[in-house]
Amino acid sequence: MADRKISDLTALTAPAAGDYLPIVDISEASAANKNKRITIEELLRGAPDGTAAAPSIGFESDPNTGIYRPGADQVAISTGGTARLFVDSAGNVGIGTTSPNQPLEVNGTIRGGSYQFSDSGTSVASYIGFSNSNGPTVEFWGSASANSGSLLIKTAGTERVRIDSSGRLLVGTSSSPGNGNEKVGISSSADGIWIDATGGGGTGIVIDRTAADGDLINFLQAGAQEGVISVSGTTVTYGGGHLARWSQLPNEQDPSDLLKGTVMSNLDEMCEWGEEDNEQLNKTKVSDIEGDLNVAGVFVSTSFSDDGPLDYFVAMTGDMIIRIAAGIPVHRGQLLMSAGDGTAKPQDDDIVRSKTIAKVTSNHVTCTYDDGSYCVPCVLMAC
Amino acid sequence: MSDTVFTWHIAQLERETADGYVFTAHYTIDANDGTYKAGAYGSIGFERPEEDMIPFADLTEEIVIGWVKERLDVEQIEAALQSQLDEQRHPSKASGLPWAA
Repeated sequence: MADRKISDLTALTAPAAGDYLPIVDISEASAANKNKRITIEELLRGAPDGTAAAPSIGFESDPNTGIYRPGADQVAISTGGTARLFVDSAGNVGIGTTSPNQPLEVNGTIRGGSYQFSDSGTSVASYIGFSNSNGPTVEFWGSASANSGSLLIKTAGTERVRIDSSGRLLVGTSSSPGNGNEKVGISSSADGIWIDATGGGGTGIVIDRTAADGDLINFLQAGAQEGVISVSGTTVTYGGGHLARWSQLPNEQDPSDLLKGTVMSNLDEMCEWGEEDNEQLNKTKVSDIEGDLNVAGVFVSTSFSDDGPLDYFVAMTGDMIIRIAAGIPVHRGQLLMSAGDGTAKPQDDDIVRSKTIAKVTSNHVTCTYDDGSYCVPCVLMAC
Repeated sequence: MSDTVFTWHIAQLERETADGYVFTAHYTIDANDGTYKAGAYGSIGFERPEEDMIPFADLTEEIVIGWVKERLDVEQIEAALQSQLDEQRHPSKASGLPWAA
């Protein structure tokens, strides 16, 4: 074949792997050896490994930027002579790291407008996690449910907070602990909410019924409503309860055997809680004087706290039951006074006196004790 | 120290009303070693069964707990709760101010 200029050759517009590229080797002495060739496939597959500083596939004007092979079954990209992106033999991609342990591992900050995490299954959860060498620290999980979406926050591998598909904020539970209408649900075997009002001003809790009169707080026991605080116009109603205060028996006696509704009498001795200040709470005893003028109220229950059983509630004013001795009849509307044995008995008249402790509100017998004494509903009066 | 008892409970189920397909179960696990208690909770989703779906009315807590346990790493969860009990018994961390005693 006669000599031809390269520019005269037909350009390959769609080269196949086996197409040849001519090479003129000017180092050869004989003309017969100057003409060499290489296939396109051989040319593209024949790159040396290169390094980050001198990638084997690069640019003439920027020789330290390009693609190179850091090791067997690996490929990497460097810029400015520094390795930037790795694909290891397992297919894991590392950015800023040469040893990615996940399909994508980035050593640095990821920035973007939006990210989507999804899986082909309908019940598979996706999450963004933070961890250290001790394990997961914080994780944000997407829904693990087929038909609804929830946002979960976990710490130390345990769910703590959730916003469910209805927008309800849940703490300590994954489902509504209430009637399903609440916007915030909390389930806790310990303290539920603790508010430190740290400022000199402000209010610990504010509840504002902005649209209409109604309930502010409902009090339930085992799902049954036992009391309520409501607002109507300019009036706040505390419904279904009484006012009570803490008290203690003298000489550190255990009050566990006291019966609910027992009439208690004031003592001068003050309650003691270690070094805790106590300005107003005095100890009480079972009333032992008929017509006792120093009635404190009636026994409700011992302490519910872990601090000890020595403390108990004494109901002073409001709805309560009161204990009547066996065989002593009482009727609705009667005023009661201390009978001198822990029970109450009707006054001789219907005049409210210093010794008056309650007014019977119903003839219904709430409970009867082993000693035959019984309790009736009453309104405690200014004990 | 007595052995720890792990009690699994189903707190709630979410289902499709059309056929009773339960797609989410909310569960709780209580760990109690006789002195200390710890707990965990969460929810798990279920794929619609291709056949033999148990009618919703026939489901029992034991059945659903079985489903939940199948999909969770029970050993890992109970180990984590045991660690919490151990931490309560022998705390490795504390908070407080020495000048506020």
